[in-house]
Amino acid sequence: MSHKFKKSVNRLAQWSAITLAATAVMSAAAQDVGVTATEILIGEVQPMSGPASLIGKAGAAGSKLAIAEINANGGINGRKLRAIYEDDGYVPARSVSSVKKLIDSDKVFGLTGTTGSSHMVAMLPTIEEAKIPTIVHMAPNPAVVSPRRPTVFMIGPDYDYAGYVPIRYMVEKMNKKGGKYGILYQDDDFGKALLSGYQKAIKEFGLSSVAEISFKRGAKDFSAEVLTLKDKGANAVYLGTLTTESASIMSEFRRLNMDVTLGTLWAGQLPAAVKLAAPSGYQYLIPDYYASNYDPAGQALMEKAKKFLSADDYANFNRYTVSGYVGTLVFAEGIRRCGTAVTRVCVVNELNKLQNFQTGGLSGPVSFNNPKAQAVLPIKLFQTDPSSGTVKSVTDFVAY
Amino acid sequence: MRSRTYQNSYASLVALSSQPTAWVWGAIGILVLALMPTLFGSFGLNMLTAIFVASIGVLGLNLLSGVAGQISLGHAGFLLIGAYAQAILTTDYKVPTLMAIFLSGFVAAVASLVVGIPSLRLKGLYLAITTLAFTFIVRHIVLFAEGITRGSAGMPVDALTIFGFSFKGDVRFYYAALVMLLVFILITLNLMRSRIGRAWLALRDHDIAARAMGIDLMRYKLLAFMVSAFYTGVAGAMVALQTRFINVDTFSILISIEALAMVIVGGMGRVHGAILGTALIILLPELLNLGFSAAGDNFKTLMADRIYEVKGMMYGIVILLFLRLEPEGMAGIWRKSKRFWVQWPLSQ
Repeated sequence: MSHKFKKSVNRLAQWSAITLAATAVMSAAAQDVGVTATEILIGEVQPMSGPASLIGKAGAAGSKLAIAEINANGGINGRKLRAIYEDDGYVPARSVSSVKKLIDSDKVFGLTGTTGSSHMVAMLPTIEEAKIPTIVHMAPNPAVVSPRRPTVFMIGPDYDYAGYVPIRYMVEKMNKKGGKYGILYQDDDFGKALLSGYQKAIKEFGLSSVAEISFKRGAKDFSAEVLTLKDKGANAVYLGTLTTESASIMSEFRRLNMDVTLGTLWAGQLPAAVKLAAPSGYQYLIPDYYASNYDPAGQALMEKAKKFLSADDYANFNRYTVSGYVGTLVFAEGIRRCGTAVTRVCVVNELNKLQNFQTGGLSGPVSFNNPKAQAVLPIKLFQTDPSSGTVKSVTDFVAY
Repeated sequence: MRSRTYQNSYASLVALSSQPTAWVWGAIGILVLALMPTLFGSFGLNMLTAIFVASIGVLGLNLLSGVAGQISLGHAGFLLIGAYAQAILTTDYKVPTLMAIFLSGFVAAVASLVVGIPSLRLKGLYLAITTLAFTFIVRHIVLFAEGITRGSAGMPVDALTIFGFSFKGDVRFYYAALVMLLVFILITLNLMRSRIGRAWLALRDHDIAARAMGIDLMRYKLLAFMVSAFYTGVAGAMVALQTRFINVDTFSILISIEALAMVIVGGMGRVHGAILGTALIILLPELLNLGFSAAGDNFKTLMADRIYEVKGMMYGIVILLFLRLEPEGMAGIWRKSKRFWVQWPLSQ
């Protein structure tokens, strides 16, 4: 081997070493908190204990499912995803403490689970201060994106759509144009949003609204309200209520032998809610921006869940599992688009550009490239079948 | 060997501490706490701040239940009143935040008359149920008075600002909470050695005998409720300032029971017991988390999502074991440890 060749080989080796070192330094510099060469750590605050654990455990199961699936397919650009779940017991003060733990102590890269709506409002200052990419997918509260928070992205339409869509369907498909309409709604921002959607439909279709009755959160007895609805002759009623309230109102309707067409919001399609309301025998309408357990897409997801989740996690499956799954997939897409140089700034930029991200029929396409960074998803309408305790879809995902 | 029971003057009998070393250790303790922000990040400071804030309320409950012997399951209600008073006074009426803290305590103290007056005729379980009902009533009032409280939507809370200096941020608020706790510890220690404190002790030990000795039961029972509610109201205001957002979900009935557990685990009627009990109950979930983490991933997989229920059970078991093995609470452990150290090598 000539001296000249040896020298060239040495030089090549030197340059290779320098290039490798520089690449290593650059890639290290391009990594952010919670990102290592092999792993990306994300965090979720969920109500895993207490009365809202039905929601939190299902949401976490969805996230676990998405992560298991992503990792089984090789991770994101060579890195595996890992999540830490913090239980807030559905108490805002604990939500704040939990998110601080995730950010400060666990050093997560981003957040994909943000518990209830008022809890998210309580966590917002901490999230904004840490400038941490965050996906809100379980409780779409308009206050989260108004004003716009640069690192916060929300999946889901405002609650007024939940009030509008069932009434529109009653008019257009159930021949209820001449019906006497009524609404029962919780006397807070959430209930008022539902009322606003209901009133929009009443005005748009020139309907007769005979009763708009508010109730206080935590109310258990609705006999007076239902009696008022009966006295006013209401035969098409929107229930702006949650799971147990809806069931007790429906049993009151049945007790008074009322012939009413009913609609409610997305929580109404939780299996527990459907089973609770089944004895009353009403086939109520439920709008939702996620697929149900009985849709083909929902069924396919359940098959995946059987494969990837433990029996306990699988038992928690409901619409919030779909929510957790979609939220985590969307976040993973933001990371994937950054390639190997994963930074919070990059993920936020990529999520800002996200348009028509497909979720395999579990929801409409997700887009954040709008001023609020809110994916106002199209809505599908379901109807319950009390005899089987299931729901069936009566429309496809439709943008309103 | 030192004796702490023999005093030869009235002044030394009512002194805050008979031993100068207690002041030295107190100063060292404060110094260590003041240095905590250099050791802990946001989460650690948040936990410590939560302990300081809760300790203020537990000191108040300790005065009522531990010192004056009046049981209360209504302190979540006073905490809620304090928090909402702070939020409403600062957000809607632009009252300076520091002044609002003490006004919040005052509002809670006035509200305490609602349960304080029935307490004159009720004892034990009957009083416990009355005070428990108070929390339900207060929660419903907050939900119904939507025009004032924003109902279930909750309220944002302005940050603590004193003479233009903002205590926004974990480190600054940590110091504010520490100072507030020290102030309330001093107030409590002074109260307990005053006529009022001794009257409360007499009331707790035997109310008929106390009355025979000239103690006005009505006055001191009402005073105990009002002072205790004042402390808890101030703690509520501090909770609001720490979280910067409040709604009724934060103030569940469980808080009253937890507060009582803090008093009992710490040692009834003891100031340092109240603080140690608060620290233990607040840190217990984190200690359990550490224990579960140390047990490894296989254990976590085995428990799956039941881990949250198991944690809740463990929480209860630890408290039960504590009460069974050390009925004097943490104050008892503290006392025995100190005696062992002081009397060594003759300690048993």
